[in-house]
Amino acid sequence: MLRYIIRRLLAGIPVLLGVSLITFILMHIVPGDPVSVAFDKRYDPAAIASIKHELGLDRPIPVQYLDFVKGAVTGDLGASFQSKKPVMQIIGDGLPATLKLTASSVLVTLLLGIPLGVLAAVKKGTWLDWGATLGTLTFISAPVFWIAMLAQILVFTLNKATGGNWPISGFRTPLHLILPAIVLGSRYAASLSRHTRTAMLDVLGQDYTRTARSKGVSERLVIFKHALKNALVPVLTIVGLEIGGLLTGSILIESVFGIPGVGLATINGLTNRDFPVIQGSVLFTAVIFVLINILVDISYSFVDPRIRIS
Amino acid sequence: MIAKKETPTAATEPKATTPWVRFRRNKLAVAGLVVIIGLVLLAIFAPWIAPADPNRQDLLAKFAAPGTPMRASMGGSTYLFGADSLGRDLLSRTIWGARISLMVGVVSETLIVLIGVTMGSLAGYYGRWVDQVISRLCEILFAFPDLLFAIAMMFALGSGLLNLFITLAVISWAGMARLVRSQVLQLKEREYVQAAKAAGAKDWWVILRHILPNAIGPIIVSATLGVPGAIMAEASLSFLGLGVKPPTATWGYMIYDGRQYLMSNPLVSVIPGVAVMLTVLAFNLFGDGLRDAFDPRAKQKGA
Repeated sequence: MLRYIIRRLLAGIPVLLGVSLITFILMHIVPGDPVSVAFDKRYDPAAIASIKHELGLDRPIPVQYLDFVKGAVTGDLGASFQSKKPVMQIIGDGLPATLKLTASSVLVTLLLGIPLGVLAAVKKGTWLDWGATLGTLTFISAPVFWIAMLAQILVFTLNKATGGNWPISGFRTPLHLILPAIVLGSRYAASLSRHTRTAMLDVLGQDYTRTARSKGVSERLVIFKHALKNALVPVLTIVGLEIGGLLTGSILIESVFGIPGVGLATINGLTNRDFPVIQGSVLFTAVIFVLINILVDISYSFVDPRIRIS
Repeated sequence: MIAKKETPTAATEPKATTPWVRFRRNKLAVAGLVVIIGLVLLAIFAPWIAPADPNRQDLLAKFAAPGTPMRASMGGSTYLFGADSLGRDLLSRTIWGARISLMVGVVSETLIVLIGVTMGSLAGYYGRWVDQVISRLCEILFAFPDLLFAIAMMFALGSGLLNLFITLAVISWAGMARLVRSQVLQLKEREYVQAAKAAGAKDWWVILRHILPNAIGPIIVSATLGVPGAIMAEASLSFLGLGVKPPTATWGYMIYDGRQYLMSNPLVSVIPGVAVMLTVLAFNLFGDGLRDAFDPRAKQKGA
């Protein structure tokens, strides 16, 4: 087991290096160069040259890359052009909000997606199954930021009708988290319910389910104890993989709801053309994404030992 | 139990069924195809169908309610869906937006097929270090969350339609390459391929003439199912101000544009969103239908 974990972690290193290389290249093909782009052309060339020198951007590209990797490993991603704050600190400031949003969205995904999928599988072929299929497919087809805006309109209208005061943006109280988490969570609940349905139908067709039924085990027990328990293995893997998608979905959600997370920091970096912030947050999010995928692989191998061998 | 019941049905299906016959039985997929054909016609004939110039402004008609008559200089029709903050006709902008969305879907998916099929064939056919290099590259691309990569790349290249095509192709070709690679790996062991090789056919001829035609089904299905992803990515990027340059009417940018007036004039954002949703849904239904038609066994899995 330990050997598998180590092997999996080691295999992640070249991927992480590749990720850092691509991020670095992207930030260095900005037409012109990042400093001129960020500081406009009003500055005289000598001033730009001195800023470049200060940032080490006049050194050979491979040296800059090695420096970037060295910095990234030690947690130094440079400083923002705009606020002069270290990029790592900007990310650290945004992380709690993003984690809260992601965690509560995962909760909504699980609480909504699994029951809906089980229901659709048990009622296979009925109008309920069809409704769930078409409904979730339609929901997945809508842009998540647009759904978020619709949710804002809905709550705003309800507030006006009932004299209520539900927050529709911002991040001051835990109440502010509810709407964004429902929007982001239900987006992934829709796809999770499809996977749950598939996994449940697969398990319900297995011999041991038939044996349980023929023994006279009650239908409720068959569904929850025999089928769901086994169907959960593939389902939970998918949840793990979707956390990565959720992470990028949160960029759009943070933008719509004004949640001061890592995603919003990335977007602010884009508007300010603040390339150290963009480079840092892109690398950070990609690294988290890779680590989550490795964790999913490892936890999956706990559940299904056959994985370790292949 | 339930899946067991389906197996014999699939097996006892008349042998003569072609993919087209199987596709036609799927009502939702046919509905998707009909919507797609409608959208394509709308996009092609946008200049004749749209009641007004999508970029023509009339500040006196700012946020005109649906049904308000249009001034003669704007085209003299009515604002069927109302007008946006600059008095531009929402319906006309939505119709012209179909052009961009479909173009993004079709062009970037064509690029993805070209790059993905080439890379996948090379990796699958030649194996060894060629396969190693291409597969590692794919692995790294998979390691990036799609939207994040697209954001970084559009930032680097700058907004614009051409850069959008390039970005979407670069972030998505790896999936197609992986699919084609596995197809080629299976097919190259077939006897007729071995026979062609033994007869002295050149590698490219074997790949193009003997291997790829037999992998065409999965390639078409994957390309079709990739279109909604590209359309959605364009909408997301335009929403973040990284897509096509304004004032070009694109659905994502229209949604973004209406954001400031969301509570007073929700239609400005709602209408283009509905357009995205219907288009993506149509391609998803059509793609799912194609997949089931090409590979009836996949349907059993209920996906």
